[in-house]
Amino acid sequence: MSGILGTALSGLMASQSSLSTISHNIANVNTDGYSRQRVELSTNQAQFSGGGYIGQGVNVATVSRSYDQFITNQLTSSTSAFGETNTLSTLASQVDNITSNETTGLSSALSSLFNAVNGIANDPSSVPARQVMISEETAITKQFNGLSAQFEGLRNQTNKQMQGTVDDINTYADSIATLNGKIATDSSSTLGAQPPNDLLDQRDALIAKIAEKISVSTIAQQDGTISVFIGQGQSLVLGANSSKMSLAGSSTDPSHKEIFLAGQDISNQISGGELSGALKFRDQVLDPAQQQLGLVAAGFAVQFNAVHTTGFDLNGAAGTDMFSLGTPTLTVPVTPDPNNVGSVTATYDPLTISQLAPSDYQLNYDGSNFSLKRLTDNTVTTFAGPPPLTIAGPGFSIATGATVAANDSFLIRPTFNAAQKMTALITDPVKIAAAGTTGGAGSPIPGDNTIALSLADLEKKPVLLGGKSTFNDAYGQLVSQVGTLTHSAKISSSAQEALLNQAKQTRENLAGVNLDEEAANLIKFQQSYQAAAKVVSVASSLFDTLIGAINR
Amino acid sequence: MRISTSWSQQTAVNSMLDQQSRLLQTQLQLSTGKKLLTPSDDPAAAVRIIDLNQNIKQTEQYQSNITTARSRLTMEDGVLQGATEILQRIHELGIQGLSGTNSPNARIATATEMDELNKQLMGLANTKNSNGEYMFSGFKSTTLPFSKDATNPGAYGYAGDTNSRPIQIDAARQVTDGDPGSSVFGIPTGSSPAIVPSPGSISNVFEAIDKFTTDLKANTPNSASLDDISKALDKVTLTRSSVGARLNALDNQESINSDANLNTKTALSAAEDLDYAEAISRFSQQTASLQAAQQTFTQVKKLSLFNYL
Repeated sequence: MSGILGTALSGLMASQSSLSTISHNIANVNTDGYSRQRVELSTNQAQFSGGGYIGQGVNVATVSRSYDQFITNQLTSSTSAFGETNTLSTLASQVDNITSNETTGLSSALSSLFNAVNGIANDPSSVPARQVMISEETAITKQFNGLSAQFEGLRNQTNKQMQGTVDDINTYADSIATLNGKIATDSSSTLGAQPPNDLLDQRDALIAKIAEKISVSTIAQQDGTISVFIGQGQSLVLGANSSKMSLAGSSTDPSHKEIFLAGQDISNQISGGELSGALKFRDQVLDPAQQQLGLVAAGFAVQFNAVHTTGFDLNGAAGTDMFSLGTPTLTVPVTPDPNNVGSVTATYDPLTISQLAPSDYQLNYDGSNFSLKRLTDNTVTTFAGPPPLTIAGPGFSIATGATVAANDSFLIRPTFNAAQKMTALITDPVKIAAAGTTGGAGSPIPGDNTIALSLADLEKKPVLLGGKSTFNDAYGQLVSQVGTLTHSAKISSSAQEALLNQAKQTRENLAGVNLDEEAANLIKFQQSYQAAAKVVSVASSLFDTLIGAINR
Repeated sequence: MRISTSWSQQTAVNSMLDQQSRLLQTQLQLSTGKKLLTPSDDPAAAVRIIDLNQNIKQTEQYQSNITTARSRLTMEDGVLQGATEILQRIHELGIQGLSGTNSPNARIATATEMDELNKQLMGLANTKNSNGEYMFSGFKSTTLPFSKDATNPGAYGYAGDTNSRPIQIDAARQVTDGDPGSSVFGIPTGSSPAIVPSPGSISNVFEAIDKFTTDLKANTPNSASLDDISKALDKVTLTRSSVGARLNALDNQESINSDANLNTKTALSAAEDLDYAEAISRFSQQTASLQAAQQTFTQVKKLSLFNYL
């Protein structure tokens, strides 16, 4: 009879464990990354009697979670792929909106400026017409500056986002390392190794969160810990230790952030995740867009100046530069390497400005030859030394100082900041040089519109990108470049989203909680509990029967 | 197949969000009337739209240039018509004055009338246009073109130049909006030392008339003076016909430009304007499917085994 009572008790205990696990499942129905658990039951060791084995009830073997390593890995990689494309598409859409907008875009400002130039060509001596031109000159400058400032704002935003992402990765990596420690301790417990299900779920959820930020690969170790690797096998978490990621500006441009892991530059090696999306946005959308905008700005300013300075103003004096790109007006920014001995200067060249390319250039001196490398495609042009030397680049010319020494290196950026640096120089309407002739200082030829006509002609002249594009064409290229990239980013983002949802669904179908199922199980174990309790009462009445027999 | 309760909820929510964003896209299209909301919707069309817009603005600029040129040329035509009438009258008076039956006094009277007409003609040659620019002084539009030489009797001066101003009326077509006084009224011999040529070879109209009236007053008219007047009249008529031809060219170009602009605008409309019929039917379809999603969601959510426990 004590056997019956014991067996019934084991049934009560087993049902109770199952019921509490069911209630745990129901409680966590909306918990992210939770894997439903179930109590695995097994029969107790049977007792041998002469007539065979008599069962001794049930015991709880373990509490297992529904989990599949393959499905989890699939989810992790889909999460990274979606994180990357989604970030790229979100950021690229902002550039897309800026370039296309009627008020922030360049197209209508260019049209208005050339309309004003036409107004002067029609009425070269009219001061009101010239005043319109002065306003438009300021407006187009503001437009270039404004677009450039918007791009700069996006660059700051991207940098902040990257910093936030890196901070998150560090926090998650720390937490994973801590969990690894706990899991290793629990798994090697002397009380018998049982899986710490909820800790495992938490760790999986953290890995999924890191995967949103950066693509990771994981390797499960013997002791229950998981090692997390990023890039091409750089370890982020090893056992209970994690490495630190950080951001730092490049040596030539502090706003150009590179990514470091434990002091090592891994910018070129990371893939997937929001971090890679932000990097791709910067390198494939933002930088090229800013270079192209700078190309239009520099080309426009230099060409306009070149025509304008051949003319004469309403005072009969020679025309001056209308736009400035630096100090002096045609200076190309040069960033020297900190270890340089000599120096160089660069200026835009009106004669070759149509050859200007939307790229940065690297000038190196090896002791006998100068090499000029275009950084977008690494094309190298060599010029025989020694310094001082004047080098004719595409769209600009470089004057090297006499002291330039071997291994000196210079970064030349003719287009990157051109739109930002552009300023309008002429504020006096009388100083607009519309005439092609002069009667000398003080005796202008007011009715002459030759130069105004030449300026108006620039609107439809292919003067950029090797003489193939007008200003508007070059700007159109910028819009279509950004538009195409945004378009494909949006498409791949929605494709990746579908894949991610597929992976989530597969995981949820396996590991998610279904309330109806839990309700059914609740009934099942409620009944088995009631039945076991009934057995206890039967055992008790059996006992009473026996006692009653003895008392009689 | 097992379905996770929270995921089935999430899926339903996702699909509603999806439908809402599509509905918003259609709603934005309907409220702006544009097919493309950002260039990424159709990058190729976006660039075409930029090009077409620029094209339209440029053509509109050419149309406004044409209007400017037309008003100047019409005004010049009026002035030249006046000059023609004056020269015809002078020609008539000249024939009268040359007639041998005239008394010296009658010749003086004729000459006086011719002098007045000469002044009127010079007034026309020194006309300013609506901008206050002298019409016949070439590029030197603020300089008085013709003046009587104060020190040398019978001589006149021209202070303008021989240029005329082109106006762009099409990408490859320019029309001059006037003519320099030198070609309309002839180049005077000018001042210091002024040697006015003999009648028959005087190219400047004012000098020719001046010489004629001086000879008439002296009662020694030269019949060759009449040739000078005729030649001057020819020059003015020739200029007038050239002005007429240019006005004609402006009219032609204007209608070419407006045709071109219409075509460009049609192309622009095809590229960027929304097909309202299609968009509205899409809108009602999307509204219906969002409503369906919402209704099915609430109904499915009511189903639970817990309702019966």
